[in-house]
This record gives sequence, structure tokens and C-alpha cells, in this order.
Amino acid sequence: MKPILSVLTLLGFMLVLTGCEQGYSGNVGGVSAGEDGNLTFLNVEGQRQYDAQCASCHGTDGNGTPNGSSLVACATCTSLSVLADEISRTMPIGNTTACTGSCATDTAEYILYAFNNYALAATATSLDGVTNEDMVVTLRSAALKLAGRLPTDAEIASVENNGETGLSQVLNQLMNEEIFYDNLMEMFNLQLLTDKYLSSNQFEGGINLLDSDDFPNRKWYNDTYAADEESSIRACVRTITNDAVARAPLELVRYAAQTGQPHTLYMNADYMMVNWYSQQVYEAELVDSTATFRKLSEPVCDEDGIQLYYDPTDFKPARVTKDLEYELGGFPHAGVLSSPMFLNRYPTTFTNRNRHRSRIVFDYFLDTDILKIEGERPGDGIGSGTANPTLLDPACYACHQVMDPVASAFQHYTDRGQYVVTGSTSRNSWDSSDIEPAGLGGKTIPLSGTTGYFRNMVQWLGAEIANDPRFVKATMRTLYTGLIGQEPLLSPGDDASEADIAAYNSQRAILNTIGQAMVSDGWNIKTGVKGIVMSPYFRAEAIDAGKVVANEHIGATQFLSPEQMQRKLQATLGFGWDEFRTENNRIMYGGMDSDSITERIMEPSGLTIAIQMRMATEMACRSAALDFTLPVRERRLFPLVAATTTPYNTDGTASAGGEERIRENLVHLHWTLLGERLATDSDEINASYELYDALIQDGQAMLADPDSYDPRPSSWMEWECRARWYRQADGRTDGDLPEAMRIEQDETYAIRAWIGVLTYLMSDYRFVYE
Amino acid sequence: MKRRQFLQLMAATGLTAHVPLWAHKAHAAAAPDRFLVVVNASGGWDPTSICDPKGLNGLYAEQSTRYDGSTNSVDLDANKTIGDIQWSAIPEFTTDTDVLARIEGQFDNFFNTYGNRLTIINGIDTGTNNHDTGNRVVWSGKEELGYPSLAAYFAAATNPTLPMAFISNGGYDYTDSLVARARASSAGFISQLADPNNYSGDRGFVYRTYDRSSDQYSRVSAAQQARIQRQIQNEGLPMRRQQLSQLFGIRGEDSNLGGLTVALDDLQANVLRDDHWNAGRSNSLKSQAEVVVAAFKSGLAASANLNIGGFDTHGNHDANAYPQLGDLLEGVHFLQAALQYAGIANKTTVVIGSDFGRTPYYNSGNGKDHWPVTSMMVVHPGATGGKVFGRSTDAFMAQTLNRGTGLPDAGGAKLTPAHVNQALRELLAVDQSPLAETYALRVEGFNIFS
Repeated sequence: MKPILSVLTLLGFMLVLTGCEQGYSGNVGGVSAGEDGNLTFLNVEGQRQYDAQCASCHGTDGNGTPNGSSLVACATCTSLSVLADEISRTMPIGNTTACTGSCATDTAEYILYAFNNYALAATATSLDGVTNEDMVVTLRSAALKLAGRLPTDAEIASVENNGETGLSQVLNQLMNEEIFYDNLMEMFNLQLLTDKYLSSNQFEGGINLLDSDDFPNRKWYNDTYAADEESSIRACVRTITNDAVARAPLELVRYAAQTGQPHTLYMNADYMMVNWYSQQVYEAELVDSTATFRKLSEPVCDEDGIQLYYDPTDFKPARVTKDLEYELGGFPHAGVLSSPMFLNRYPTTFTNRNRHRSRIVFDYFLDTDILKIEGERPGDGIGSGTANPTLLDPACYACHQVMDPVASAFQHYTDRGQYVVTGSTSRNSWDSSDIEPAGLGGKTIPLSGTTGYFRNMVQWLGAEIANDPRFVKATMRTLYTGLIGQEPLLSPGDDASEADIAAYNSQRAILNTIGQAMVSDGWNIKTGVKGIVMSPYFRAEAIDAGKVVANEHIGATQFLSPEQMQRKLQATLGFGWDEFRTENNRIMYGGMDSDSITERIMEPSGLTIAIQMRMATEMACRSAALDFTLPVRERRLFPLVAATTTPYNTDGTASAGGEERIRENLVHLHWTLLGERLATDSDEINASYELYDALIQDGQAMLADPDSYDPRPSSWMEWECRARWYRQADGRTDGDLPEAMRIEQDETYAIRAWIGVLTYLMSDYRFVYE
Repeated sequence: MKRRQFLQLMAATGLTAHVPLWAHKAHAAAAPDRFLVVVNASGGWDPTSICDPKGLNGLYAEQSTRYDGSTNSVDLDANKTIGDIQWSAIPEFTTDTDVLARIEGQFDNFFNTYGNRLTIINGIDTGTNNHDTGNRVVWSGKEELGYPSLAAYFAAATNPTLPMAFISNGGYDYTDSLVARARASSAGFISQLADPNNYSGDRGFVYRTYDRSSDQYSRVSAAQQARIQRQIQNEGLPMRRQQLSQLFGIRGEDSNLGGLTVALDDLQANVLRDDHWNAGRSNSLKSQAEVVVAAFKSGLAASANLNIGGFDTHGNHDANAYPQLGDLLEGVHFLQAALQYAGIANKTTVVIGSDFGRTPYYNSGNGKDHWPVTSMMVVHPGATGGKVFGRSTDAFMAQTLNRGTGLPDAGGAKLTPAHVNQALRELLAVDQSPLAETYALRVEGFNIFS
């Protein structure tokens, strides 16, 4: 913040606080007001409304623009009720009915809190008895989690200067970065598991699911590169094409988030997502017929003299309108529900009649566990002898009346996901006499007439789900699980303790608030993500066990998955661990393949800890000297010391300056690697310094008397630890460093002492968990 | 810090309620003296196609026109018995006689070789035909969530501090945080991990001499453990304190991964997969078995889940189910051979089961759908003479059984997975564990293994 502006703002605050003191006492009401009117936190929904309807005139920081006055210490900023009334009657200018009621109250709360230093209580960011961590620490965790990087100095300054408002704004920026969208898809795949069909798991796993008569061009690369029997141009294109087909349902999530469209497209998009490669598979028509696929400056596939430049990440909406084997004009799209990947991941059988698909729809998208519906399954497997038990036996019907309408809605999709409309002469027969008609929640799909949905039942279903409040809960569950690392609490049973009930209700209230803010924000999935990151479940640092008795679910710290650990290594060191390229190794570290292993192991075993310790020693060795080859301003690890800085002068006497710089660099490392903000004389920095000092003294003693040791120590570092090579993001070497840049010797043993310290830090709880 | 000191620290910081159960054991991990392997036939197997055959009984003419409404497509064979056990003949689902002979060989060899140590449990009513629920109830004894799998329970009750106490290759493997659950599938990678600091002639990435007169890695390790203790004392969030204490406990144990590598190499050199019945068959199960037996032998693990899929045979049951069942039996045979070579076959119990059963008749696609009645097979040290406990009806339904004999008894009760799990806990001598109170099955017992 500029000095003059700071002074003006401060003056504004002082005016407000002195001139309007009466306005801040008593119960001022509002949706997030406490009983005593002691409001303490930012209103997320109010911020959304402000950004959408007010900021263009009043400025994102509330300081006004030529089109609108400053809201800092404004005339009506005297109380929540006064400001809310003003907004309700007069704002926005030109459309004064656009923000009334709760919109006005929420916006007023945000303005008072964000621009007038007024303490508000929002239910979604605090929990009585839970202390949230410092906002800068939250920023670091969020930056790693969402964008796979550390926050910049400017972002930290923004949070330090502007508190939660600044944090909120930085989160918005983080969620515009490409890695965020990858993470978002990863979160949804934890549930959907369609990554099973990626090339890394199965050869042409996605493409082979498509019917070859419906899509004769599904392996178009075999024809296009016919002369290329075994060569790599075909292999390159095949991999990209298959993975685009496999990822199509998850790309819907990315597309909605990236373009600011509602996440409900996941259910009701009347198109699918294709890139240049998969468009040819489906012979699909782009929704925007004038659109063209993006080309990159460097070739994506460059083999056998053939270069392809089409960006594999450029997905666009498209429809299958071509004639299929049994249907003219393609098939109707309904978000993920009509995706061949979804339909194959959750297949059906002749006798199952889509009930498995129905159960999944209820679980994933309606947050309803069908199996918990009261009813009885006959112990002998036959039932009471009723001819049609799923319709006529009350013990069966309780569940089937809920499940079967959705099952019926999938009737046009075969066990392999092929679209074949049912009918008396169709090869896809459907006996409707022993199953409920298609529908959802008591509604039956209108089938006949010009407005009927006979051929489009799943489209009807997708539209219904998108409007169902349970889809909000289901989406919050997916996001919460992806971000926090554990499922939200299950509904407490009849004999649950008061503490468990209180914990469940608190969590439900907070998630509902965030979910409603997301819906109000046009179903913007980023609002849901931000709400969870700002919530106490993500930010908790300490708990008053007297106030929060059931508390073991509070906190987002989780043992990092191999993918998360790889991103953390890349963010903190600049490159990852090459061993994590191998799927088997990732699985042993607790990862999943979305196929036979569909659950991450969140609690480490001796094996996973051994892998982690190996990773720490190898990565410390490879990164220390390499970091010193960079200009100081580019160093991630050692910006405050030189490769020769030691705590000792050449004559062996202590160097106060050397120790000071080493301590300062340790502070930097504790922050960068572990997210700890420490003073140079804190206990933990003292402990790290003692380790560093012990290691360098030990090393220097060996260098002074090399013949007493076997192998004989020297200034040359271990081969693996030398800075001789560039590194790719996945950890492999990437060509030699120029000789002038290389660091292979360590005369003072300083680099090797740092390797030891890095090993210590990278095997720490705060590095292994995040 | 010794484990006892660690527990004192936990008590001093009010943390004992949050310490995982395995950390309460007041001594270092001892090598296990008995083991459990659970083999899961994923997807819901058909007991009538293996150990509870009904033959061409024509009892379901109303439900199916296939094979005259019979339960099986092949009749019973009086020669396929040992003790009370009757196993299924192989239907002629293919004209490839080599395939049929191979499967028949797998069946006959298995039951003739292991029949005397087998207990077959028939007529179990799982009460479900849902995969998730079936998996959970069969392997934990409870339909409700929150109960550990049998293998996890066993490891927690016997050797909770082992670094890879429970190895899971899939199936129901919920632990409720009682023990470490490990996935150990890549033998080559494990050998690198035996000493995380090992580099080029044992020098280490963090420098050390051959005789370890100078060992900087040990300095780092000591600093790590000291820091964890400080973190435990200062942490304000119960969840994190629990995670820290778990990390401290695991790091304090010697993982002995080097021993696993040695045992695995030895096993792979001396128990050849292709020499155990059929070359190239059941490789997935055999591979899982190798790592598990090596982990048992090297004292790292006490129990394991092995997993084999392909049993959800809604279509073309015979052509799909019988080859899979044959490979299942071949995999278990290889496991036994490996256990025998490792010298621990007489300390290991193997339990084979599945989500539920399949209909006693064929659907229009020649498949079999879900059915709640199932069987389990137990290979336990000691002779049984070929025992069968429990009976399903001729129509493959559950019925009330006598608790002592397992024979039909109108005054008895239906046999459920809870009963079987309770009996297995008793057989494995873990029914008196402190865990039994927390994870009580609360059923009146059946005398399955007496």
C-alpha cells in the first residue's frame, strides 16, 4: 500500500471508530450477526456480490473510482442496518432491485468488514474454540495445494497488508493458474475414477471402450500414420488421443471453472469436451463452428519427420451428431452422465438393469447412500415369493422406488455405454412392466409428445440433478474430501454423543454456507474451493478441547500422496523425484491407479516412511549444490548464503557474520520447506543450526585428516550430489551444465552440511504432511 | 528415546487417548510366530461351482430354462470327494480339451493335496447381494462401517508394531488405524529402501565411512527424532499430534527392508512360478504371494490380503468362472509352496472367500447373478480330514444349522459372516485380544473349527 493511501485509510478508520462508535454496539442484525452483534469475520457471499455489482464503481479496495465514491468511512457506514437499507433501496444505480434482502445485508457486512475495519461474524470462516493459523501460513498451504507453488513476496505482502481480503484476492489469482485446474480434475477423479482408462494404466483403455461401428475413426492415427507400423509418431498421437478420450468427463469440470460457467455443466452440458486429437475419434462437431484448436510454438509430437503442434490441453465443447450404428443423428449429451467413460466405469448387466449406475448417481451427485434406505434383503435370496418383488414387495420397494426411476432413465445406454434407443424392435429391449418408469424424486419423465424426453431421458435427469439441492451437498463433499483429505462427517446415529452431534452440525452449517455462496455465485466451483480454504477445517491451528470436544476431524493436514509430494518438490526445489515416475512406486507410497487401487493410503507404514526417507536423502543431495549454481535472486534454497559461507574464519575462529547469515538462511528454509515462520534465535532455528554446525565441524575434521577415514574424504562431493546436470520437472537429468557453472567440489564442507540439513528438513513431519 | 519413554511423554502431554493402538505395546516389535493370509475372490464367486456343488438338480425350472433350471451345468462326480468335501466337476464349456484338463487338474490337485487340512464352510448367509456390503461383511463380520478387516484385526492383535504389519493387495482392507497397511508390490524398489541413505559402496548420500566411525546420517536421524518429540509437545491440534506420534513410532522401528530383499531373492530362486502346476497361469496371485511370504519370513508382516478378480460372472458363467476358480486354487497352491519353502506353512492360516454367492440357476445370457449365500475355505495347520461345516439346502439357500455339528437343525440358527469371523478369531487365538471389546461381533458361537 502506498504511504499516502495508508495514512488516508488509517485516518478513515479513525474517523469511523471515533465518530460512529454508537453504531457498532448492540445487536445490529444481519445474516451472520451473533446474538450480541459481535461480528468477527469476512462474509464470503457479500464479497461475491460486491465484486459482481459494486466493485466496478467503488473499486475492488473500496476506495472509489471516478464513477463511484469511496466506501471507507462512508456516510452510511455507521451500522449494518443503515448500510444494508441504503444498498437495498438505492444500489446498484440503474437496477435498484438487483440487490435487496440478504444480498444487501451480506454486501453491507462485507463492506463494513473489508473497508471499515468492522468486525463481522461469518459462520463459514470461524468455529468457536478453534484458533485459525496465521493468514500467511494459510496462504502458503493454499498456494501449494491449489497452484503447486509457493506464494510470491507480493502475494505475502498483500495478505499481510490486507488480511482476509488480501488472502481472498490472492486465492482468486491462484485459482486462475493452470495447475489449479489439474488439481481440480484430480479431486473429482478421486471419486469418478475414470483415470483408470489413461494410457498409463491401459493400452488404448479409453478408445477401446468406444464401439467401433459407432466410431469407425476411433483409431484414426492407425490410418493417418499407416506407414508407421511401430514408430513413435503413432505412439505419441495414440497416447494423447486416448488420454483425451479418457479425460473427457473431467475436462467438463475444468471447462466450467476456467470459463466462469456453472459447475452444473458437469450434469447438464449438452455437449462433450474434445481436443484436436479426440475430435477425430468421435468425428464430433464443435459447438462453436468457427472455433479452431490452439497450436503451440513447439511440436507436441515430433517423430519421423512429422510435427504436430495442436495443444493437447485445448479442449472445446463438441457434439456427436453423426449417424451411429443404430441411431441417426448421434446421441444426446448430458454432462458426465452420457459419457462413455462414466458409463463403462460404472457398467450394468442384463439383469442389473442400470441399478448400479443409479446407485452411483445417487452417491456421487445426490449425496445419498441408497443402501441406507430402510428395507430388508431376503436372507434366502428369493424373497417372499411375490412375482415382482421390486415393485410389489414392500420390503424391496422402499429402496427400489427411489433407485429404479434413475435406473430406467439410463435404459438407452447398453452395458458398454452404446446409445441404442429401446423399443419393441430394437436390439436394446427394455421390459418396463417390472420396473418403475424413468424419473427422479417422485417426478416421472414426460416421454411422449413434442416436449417429451423419450430419447433424452438422461438429459432430463442431468437437468434435474443440476437443480437439486443435494447436488450442492454432493459437490461440497467432493471438494472437501479433495482439499481436506478426509470425507465430511457422517450423519450421527441415534446413539451419538452430544459432542459428535455438535461437531456434525457445525460442519454441516459451514459447508452449507459455503455451498450456498457457490450457488449464488452462479455455481462457480472456485467459490466453493475458496470457502473451504478459508474455513476452520483448512486453517485450524489449535483447539480448545473444552469447547470442541469432538475434534479429531478438524485440520487439513494429510500425508501427501505421491502426486502431491512431487508437486511440492517441484515447488520448493525446482524439480521432482524421478522415482515417482513409476506407477508401482507411487502405489507403494500410498497412491492409486483408479483401477484396482482406488483409494489412497493416508496413514504411513514402515514402507512408505522408508520411501520418504530415501526421497529426502536423494533430493537433498541433488538439490543443494545445484541451487548454488543459480544467481542469488533465482535461488530457492540458499538466497542468503554463498556456497563457501561457514560459521568459521579460515583460522578456525568463529565468524559472527557467517553464523548470522546461516541462521537467516535457516529461517528461509524453515519457511520455504515447512511453512514455519521463526526468529533466528528461536528454539527450532537453534536446533537446525546445531545440526549444521555439528555436520560442518565433523566434515572439516575429516578433510583435515583424510587418511584416517575410509573411504578417504576429499573436497569432491559424491557423484550424485554434484551440480553437473540440469534437471527436468520430473527429476530426470536434462543435459549437462556448462562447465563454468558446475559445482563439484566443496572445499569447506559447507554444501555437504547443507545436504544434511536439507535431509533433516525434507524428512520432517511438516514436509511429509501438508 | 525408548518406546516406554515415548509413552511417558504421551501421558505427560495428555495424549494417550490419541495414540494409535499399536503404540501402546511396551516392547519393540518381535518377529511374528503365526500368520494369516486372506485370499479374496473379488466380484462374488459361485460356491456351487467349487466347494458346494449341487449338480443337475432341475430345481429352478421356473426361473431358468438353461440346463433344465438346474443349479449347475454339470452333474456331481462321486470321485471328487475327500472326507466330507465334495468339489465340483468341470462342465464342458469349450471344445478345447487342454483347457478343460488344465482346470480339472487344478481342482483335483488342490483338493487332493490340501483336502486333509481344509475346512469348508458352506451355507453362509451374507444378507446382501451388494458388492461393497458383501465385501465388508464377509471380511469383517459386520455390515456396518468401522470394523477392521479380519487380516487387519489379526495383525493389530498379534504384531501391531511391525513396519508392514498388514500387506494389502486389494479387497476389504479397512484398518481403523489399528495397524500400518502397506502395499508392497515392487521388489526392486524395496531393495533400494533397505537403507535410505545407501549410495555407492555403502558410503551414503549424507557422508559416512565404511566402518561408520563417521556417520553424518545418524546425526541427522537423531535430530529428526528430537524434533518430533518437540513437535508432539508443542502441537495444538489433536489430529496432528496423532499423526506425529504415529510417525515417531514408525521411525523408531527397524524396518528391516533389507531382510525382505534377501528373502524375496531366495524365494524367487527356489520356488519357481512356472513349476507349480501351469506355466504362465495365476501370475498375479503368485506375484502377490512371493512378496507376502518374503515379508512374513523376514519378520516384517503378520497378515496379508491377496486379491484376484474376475468372478462377477453375469454373462457366460461357465467359461469365465471355472478358469478363474482354477487359477485361484493354483495361486493358493503356490502360496502354500512358498510358505513351505520359507518354513512357515505350519504357522500360517489361509482363508479364501468372496463378496457373496451367485444364483443357483443361469440367466438368459448364460450368466449367474448375485446371491446372498456363500462359502469360505480355510487351510489351517493341522489335519481336519476334509471337514465341511454348514450346509446350504439343495436349492442353495441358507437354513438353520446346529451350532455344534453344522448340520441342518430346525432349532438352530443361520450361519452368518459374523459367526464365521468370530470362529476365525477363536481359531487364530485373537478372540481374547483387547480389541475384541471394541470390535465385538456379539453373536452366539458356532463350533466351526473344533
